Amino acid sequence: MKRILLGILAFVFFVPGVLAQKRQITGTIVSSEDGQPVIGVTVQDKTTGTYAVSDQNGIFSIEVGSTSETLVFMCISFRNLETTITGNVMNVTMQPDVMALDEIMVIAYGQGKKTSFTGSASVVKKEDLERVKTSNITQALQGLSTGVQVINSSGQPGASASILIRGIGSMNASSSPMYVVDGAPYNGYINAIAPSDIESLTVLKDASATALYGSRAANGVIMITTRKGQREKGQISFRSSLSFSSLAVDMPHQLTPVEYTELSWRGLYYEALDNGYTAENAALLATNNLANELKLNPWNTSKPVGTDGKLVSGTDLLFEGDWREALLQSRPRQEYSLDFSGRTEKTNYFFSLGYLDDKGIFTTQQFNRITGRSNVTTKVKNWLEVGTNTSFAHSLTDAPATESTIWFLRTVPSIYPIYEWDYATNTYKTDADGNKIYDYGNDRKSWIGWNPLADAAYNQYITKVDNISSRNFAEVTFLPQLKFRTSISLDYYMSSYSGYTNPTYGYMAGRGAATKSATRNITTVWTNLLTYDKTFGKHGVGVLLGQESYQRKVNGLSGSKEGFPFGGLYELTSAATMTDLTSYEDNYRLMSWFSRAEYDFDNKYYISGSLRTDGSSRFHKNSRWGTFWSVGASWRLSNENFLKGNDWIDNLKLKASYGAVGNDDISWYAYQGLYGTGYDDFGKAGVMIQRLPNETLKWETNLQFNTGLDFALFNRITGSFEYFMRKSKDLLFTMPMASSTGFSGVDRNIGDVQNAGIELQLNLRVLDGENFKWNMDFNASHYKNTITKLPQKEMNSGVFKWREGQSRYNFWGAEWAGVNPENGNDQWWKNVYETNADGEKVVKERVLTENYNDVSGDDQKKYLGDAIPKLFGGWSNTFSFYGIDFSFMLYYSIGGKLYDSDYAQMIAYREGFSYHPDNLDSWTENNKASAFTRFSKAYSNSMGAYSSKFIFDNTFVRLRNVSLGYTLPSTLLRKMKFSSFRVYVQGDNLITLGSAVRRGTDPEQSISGTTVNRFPTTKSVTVGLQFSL
Amino acid sequence: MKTYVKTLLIAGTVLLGFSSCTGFLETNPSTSVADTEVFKTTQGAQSALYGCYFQMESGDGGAGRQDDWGYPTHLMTFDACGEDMIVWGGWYTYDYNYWGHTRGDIFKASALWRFYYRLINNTNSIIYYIDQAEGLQADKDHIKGQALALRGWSYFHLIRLFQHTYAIAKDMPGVPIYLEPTTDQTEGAPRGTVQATYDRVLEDFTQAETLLQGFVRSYKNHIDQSVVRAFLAQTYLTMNNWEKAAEYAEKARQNYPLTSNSVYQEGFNDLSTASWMWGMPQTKDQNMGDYSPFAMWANWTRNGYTFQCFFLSNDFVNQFDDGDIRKSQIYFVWNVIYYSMKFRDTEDLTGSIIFMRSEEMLLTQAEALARMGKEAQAKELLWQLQEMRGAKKTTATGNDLVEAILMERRKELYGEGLSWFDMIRNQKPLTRTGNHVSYGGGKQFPARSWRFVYQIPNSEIINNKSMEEGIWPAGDQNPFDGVYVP
Repeated sequence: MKRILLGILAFVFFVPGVLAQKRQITGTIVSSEDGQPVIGVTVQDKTTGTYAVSDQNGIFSIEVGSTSETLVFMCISFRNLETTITGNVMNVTMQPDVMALDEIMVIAYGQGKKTSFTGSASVVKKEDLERVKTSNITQALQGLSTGVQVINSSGQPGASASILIRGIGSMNASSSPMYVVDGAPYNGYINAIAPSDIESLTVLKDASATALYGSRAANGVIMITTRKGQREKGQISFRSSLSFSSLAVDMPHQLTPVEYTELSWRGLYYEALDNGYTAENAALLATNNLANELKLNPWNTSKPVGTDGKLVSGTDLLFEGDWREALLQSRPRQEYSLDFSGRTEKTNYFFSLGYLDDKGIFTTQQFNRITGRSNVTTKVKNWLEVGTNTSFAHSLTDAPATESTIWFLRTVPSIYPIYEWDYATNTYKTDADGNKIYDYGNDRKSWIGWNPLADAAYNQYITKVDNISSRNFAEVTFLPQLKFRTSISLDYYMSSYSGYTNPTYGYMAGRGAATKSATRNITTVWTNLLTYDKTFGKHGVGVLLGQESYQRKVNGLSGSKEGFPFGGLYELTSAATMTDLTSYEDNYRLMSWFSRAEYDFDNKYYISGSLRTDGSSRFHKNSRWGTFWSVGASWRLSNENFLKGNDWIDNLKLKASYGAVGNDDISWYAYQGLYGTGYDDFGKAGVMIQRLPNETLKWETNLQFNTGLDFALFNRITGSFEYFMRKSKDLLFTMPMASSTGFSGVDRNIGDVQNAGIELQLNLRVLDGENFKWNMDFNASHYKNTITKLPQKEMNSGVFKWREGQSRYNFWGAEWAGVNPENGNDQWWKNVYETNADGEKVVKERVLTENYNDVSGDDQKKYLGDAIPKLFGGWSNTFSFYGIDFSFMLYYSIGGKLYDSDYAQMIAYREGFSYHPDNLDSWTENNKASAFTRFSKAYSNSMGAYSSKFIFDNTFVRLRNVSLGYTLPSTLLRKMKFSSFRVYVQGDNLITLGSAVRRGTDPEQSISGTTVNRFPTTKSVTVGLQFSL
Repeated sequence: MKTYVKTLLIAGTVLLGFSSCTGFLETNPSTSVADTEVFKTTQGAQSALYGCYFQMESGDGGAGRQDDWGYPTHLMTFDACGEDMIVWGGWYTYDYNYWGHTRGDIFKASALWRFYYRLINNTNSIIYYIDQAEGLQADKDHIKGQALALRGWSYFHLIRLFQHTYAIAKDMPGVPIYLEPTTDQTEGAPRGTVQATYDRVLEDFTQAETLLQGFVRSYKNHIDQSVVRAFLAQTYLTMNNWEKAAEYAEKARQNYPLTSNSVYQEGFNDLSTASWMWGMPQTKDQNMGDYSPFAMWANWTRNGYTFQCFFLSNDFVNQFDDGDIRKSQIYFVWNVIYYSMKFRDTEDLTGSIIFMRSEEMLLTQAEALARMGKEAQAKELLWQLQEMRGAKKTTATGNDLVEAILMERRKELYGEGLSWFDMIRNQKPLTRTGNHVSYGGGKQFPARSWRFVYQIPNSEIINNKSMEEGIWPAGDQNPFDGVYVP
C-alpha cells in the first residue's frame, strides 16, 4: 500500500526528463526484505540529473549521459543507494529504511504524514494484531501501544477489554475511548469487526490528534482502518486456525471431600472453643454436629470425623461432585477467513468473509460469528471518486458463564453431587431411560436450586446480534488542491435475547418461563469536508472545514411470560401468563462544525490548529454548545543544518501540543426534570420523581498537554518519548445532596481530575542480516491520577475514598496487623483518639484489636494503596531465519493494588460453601507460625471482611503471545502459483507470573483493582495456516 | 467547472438546511414525562400517588440488594432483629446476628433512610401541588389524604428507627422534616426533636383522617380512613397515650373481624381475608419473586425457589400452650430447629403479604386498656382471641396482665414485623437463649441499648449542612453502641 501511494506521489512530482539519446540502462529493483519489486523508485543520473521512476514491476529504464558513472536510487522508506554504472542492465536490491520516516498515517478526518504530525498517536499494524489470537479486536491492543491500558478482564469468548487511554479522565461520565471506524464515529457492536479485516489501529492520545473529534474525544480515540485492495494483481488470501484453551491462571485448588469435611470440623471445633467449651467438649461437639452442619452428608456414617479432627478410618465416601471437571473443558476454537482484494487504475476493492466458532472453556458456552465486508472505491470521473465500505456480522452467544457461575465454581463444595443420589440404594437415581438426573440440590445447605450443567442442558440463554455497518462517500476534486468530501455512515445493530427456563426440572419446575428482548441501535453520521492543501516553495498549507451531524436511536422491546404446558416449547406464544412487557426509545444527537489548519516550512517547522464546536441533545439549549480547540507544533531538528552532517541521526523531532476536548457521556436527557413512568401500583399506572431539572449542566472539558521527542538513530533505533498532562475542567460530577431530600445528588460541572504521565516507545533492529533478522519493541507507560477538586472535603466511594490530591482508586480501609501467633485471631490496628487543646480529634495511639467492629468505622481507616499500576507495557521480539519466524511478547504491569474479594470470599467460614486451600494451613496449636487466620465459625463475619488483609500488590508479567511459523520460500511458491504460504503454532497467555497466581486469581481484573468473580482470561494454543494466491 | 459550481451549490444548500434545523438537538425521553406535566390534573396526581404506593410496596433505598425491596423487606428485617425468629444463614443474617447492621456506614441504615425519604419527597409533591390540579374536590381530598397518611407513616418509621422510643427520648434529636418538594436548591434540614417529629406525624395522620372521610378504597393495598386510624393507634401506643391508643384501635378495627382459625391454618397469603386491614397483593407482573417472605420461611411448601432461612427459636415455641392451633403449625425438623407453616405462598406464587390486621388493633386496645387499669375490659378482648385460638385464658392482673398481652402479641403476630418495635417501645432487653444460633455477633443486649437504634447514614451527616459531625451529644450522629440512660 505504502509503496503504491509513494509511487503515485512520485509520478505526480517527478516527470521523467526527455533528453538527447545517450545510453539506455534498464533493470529491476527489488527489496532486500522480501525480494518483491519496489515501485516508484526515483532513479537519477548523478551527473546529468536525469530522472526515471520504476514501474509496478520494479522495472526502470533511464537514459544516462555518456560520461555518467553513478546512479542514485531514491525511494521513501528505503535507504538511498548509489551504484556505479556497470552495464546496460542493472538489477538492484534496495535496503528498506526501517525508520520509515514518512509513513502515511490515519488522522482525524483524513490522512497525514507522520513527519508533520504534531500530536501523539500510536499505530498498531495488521502484522502486530495478527500475532494475538482474539475474537475481539479490543483485546489485541494490550502491550502494543504506549499510554493505553488494556485489561482483558474476561475470558468469555468474544468479550471486550476495558481500555483506558492516558488514565482516568472522568469521575461520573464515561472514561472509555471513542471508536472511529473508517473515518466515522462507530456505534456498532465492537465484536462485529473481524480482526482479519483490519489494516491498522491508530490510537489518538492528545488534543492535537483528537480535538477534531472534540465532542467525545476526551478519553482518546481509537481509529480502526479496514483493509483495502493493495496489489494490482488481484489477490486471494485464506487463513484458518484451530485453538484449544484453558484457564490462564488456575482457580484455587478445589478442596477434596476429605479436606472439606475435616476443615468444616475445624470450624466447628474452634467455634465451640471460642464459645467457652473445653477442648475435649469442643471436639466432641464438633464431631457430633458435623453431619448437621454439612446437612448433605456424603459419608456413610453420621460422624465422619473423629474428635482428633481426622476422618475416621473406614469411613467411605458415597458420592462427590467434580464440578470443575464437568464444567471446565477445553473445546476447539476455529476461525476461517477468506478475502479477495486488488486494485485497478480506477478501482480498489476488498471483499472478505469470515467465520469464527469459539466454544470457550466452559462446557456450556458458545460464541460464533459470521462476518463479511465489501470495500470498493472507484473514480467515476476524473473529478469524482465514490466508495462504499459495508460490513455485516451475525453472532450468536449461548449459555455464557455469568459471574455467579464463576462464584459457584469457586465455592461449591465438592461434597455436592452433580446428579441426584438415592440414599436408599446408595446409587445415583436414574430416569426411565436410565440416565442420571441432574441434582438441583434441595438437600444442600447452600446453592439450593443450582446446577449450571442442568441449566445448560435444559434452558436457553441465547443472544444473537446482527450488525450492519456502512461507510459511503463521494469526493469531488475541484482543483488538485481543493476537495470536497461528503460521507454518510450508518451503524446498525440488533441484539436479540432469547431466554428460556424449562418447566420440568429446577426452580421453575411446573411453570417454565421465557424472556425475549430486542434492542435496536441505529446511528447515522453525515460528514461534509472541504479541504485545501497547497505547497508554495518551502511553504506547505493545509486547511480543512467540516460539518457533521450525528444521530443515534435506540429502541428496546422486552417481554416475559411463564407457564408452559410442557417442556420443549420456547416461544412466548406457548406460555400462559405475562410477567413483564416493556419498550422504550431513546435519541441522542449532535451537531458539529469544525476546522483545522496546518502549515509547514521547509520540512522543519510544522504548526497546526483546530477548532470545533458541538451541540449536544444531552444539555439544555442554553448550555448545549461546547467549543474545543487545539494547537500543536513540531520541529524537525534533524533537518536543521547543524545536525544534517550527523549521519547517525536519521530523524529527530520535537513536538508539543495543547488543547481542549469534550465529554458529554452522561445520561441521555441529563438536563431535564423528569417523572419516570412504569412505577405501577398493581396495574395502575404510576409515576415517580426521577430527576431534578438541571439546565446549567454543560460539557465536561479535558485540557490536554503533550510534548515529546521522536527519534531515529543509526538506522537501527526508532522511538519516542512523551510527557502528557490531562486535566479536566467542569467535570461532570454528582454533587451529593443530603439523602433526606429524597435525592443522593445532582449532576453538576464540579470537580477536577488530572492524569500526568510519561511514555517511552523503542524499536530496535538488533540484527538485520539477509536471512536472519531480530527486531525488538519495547514500550513503557506510567501515569498518575490525581483528584484536584471535589465539591466537598472527601467522599467515600465503595472501597475508595476520594480526596483532593489523591488518586481516584486509592483503597481506603482498616489496616490488618497479621495473625496473632498466640491465638490465631486476626488483628487490626485501631486508632485511639483524644481531643487536643484546640478541640480537634487526633490519634493518640494505635493499638491492636481482634474485634473487627472496632475498626469498621471510617475514623479507623487509612489509605491502603492505589490500584493503578506504576508502570505497564509490552516487550516484543520477532526473529526470522530463512523462512522461519518466531516472536513473543511479554506484557507487564508493575505496582498497583488488587483487592481480592474472590479470595476473601473463600477465607471466611460459610455454611455450604467451599474454602480456599490456604485455610488448610491455617493457625492451629501445632501451627502457630501460620500466616492464615484460625478457622473458626465464630469469626465467620470478620475473617473475610474487607481490610488490608485482602489488598495485594498486583505486579505481574504475562507471556501474552509466542508464535513460531514457517513461510515457504518464494522459489517454491512461484512454482505452486502461491504468493505466500505460512504455517504456524501460536500460544497466548501461556505463562503468567505474579502474586495473584498463587491465590488462584487472575491478575487482570479491572481498572479499579477490584474483583467480582469474573470469568478469567484463558490461555490457548493455536495451529494455523495462511496462504495467498 | 460548471459541475463543480453545481456541486458546491448543492453542498452549500444542504449545509444551510442543516444549520437552520434548530429542532434537531431537541430530544425527549419516551418513558419519562416532564415534571411540570404531572400535576396539571387530578389524574396526573393520582398516578403520582400510585408511584408512591409503588415505592412503599416495591421501591428501594438504593442498596441494590434484594433485602432492600419495599416495605415487606423492612418487616422481615425488623423480625430478624427480635427474639422469636432464627435466621439460619442466607438473607437477613447480617441483621439477625447484629453484625453492625445499624452502623451509619453499612448499607442498611442508608437503605432504610433513603427509602422513606424518597417516599416523603414524592408525597410532598402531591401535597404541595394537588390543590392547583384540575379535577373534583373529593378526588383531591382523597389523593391528598393518602399522600399525607403515607408521609406521616414514613416519618413514624424514621423516628422509631433512628432514635430511642418516644417515652424516654422526647427531647432527643428527631429526624429532618421536609414539607415541600425538593429542588436542586434544597438544603438538608436539621434533626429537630423527637417531639417535633411526633407532632408532624400526628398532624399528618389527623389531617388524613379528616380528608379520607368517605373514601372507599378499591384496593386493600391503599390507605383508607381505618388504616389511618390504625396508624394513629400505633402512634399513640408508642407515645404511651393509652386513652387515645385504645380509642383509635377500636375505631380502626370496626369493620374487621378476627382471623378465623381455618384461615389462620391455611397460611397467610390472601389479601381478601376479612381480618386484613392492609397488605399488598402480588401479581405475575409485580411481585417479589424468590425474595418474598414466603421464599424466606423454611417450610418446603413453596412451588418455587426457597431460601429456607427463617425458623423459630425453641424458647419462643415453648410459650405456646398445648392445644393452641397456632402451635399446630410449628414443626421440629432435623432434630435441631422449629419451622413454621404460618407463611405459605399460593400455588402460582402470588401470595399476598400482610401489613396489618385486626388482631393487632385488638391487642393494642387490650394493652392500652390494661395499662389504664381497665383490666376487665382488657381481659375481655384478650380472651376473645385466646379462646378462639385454643390458648389458656390469662388470669393475671397488673403488670403481669400487660406482659401477658405483650406475649400474646408475639404469639399471634410473629413474622408480621412488630416484635422489634414492641421490644424497643417497652424498653426490653434482647435476650436470645435456647437454640438461637450465632456467628460471632451479639445475642444479648440490655434494654435501651444504642444497638437498637440505627445510626444516621454517614453520607447524610456529611452532605447535610444542618447536621453536626460527631457522636451525640457532641454531634448529630447516634452512638453505635452503649446504653442510653434517660
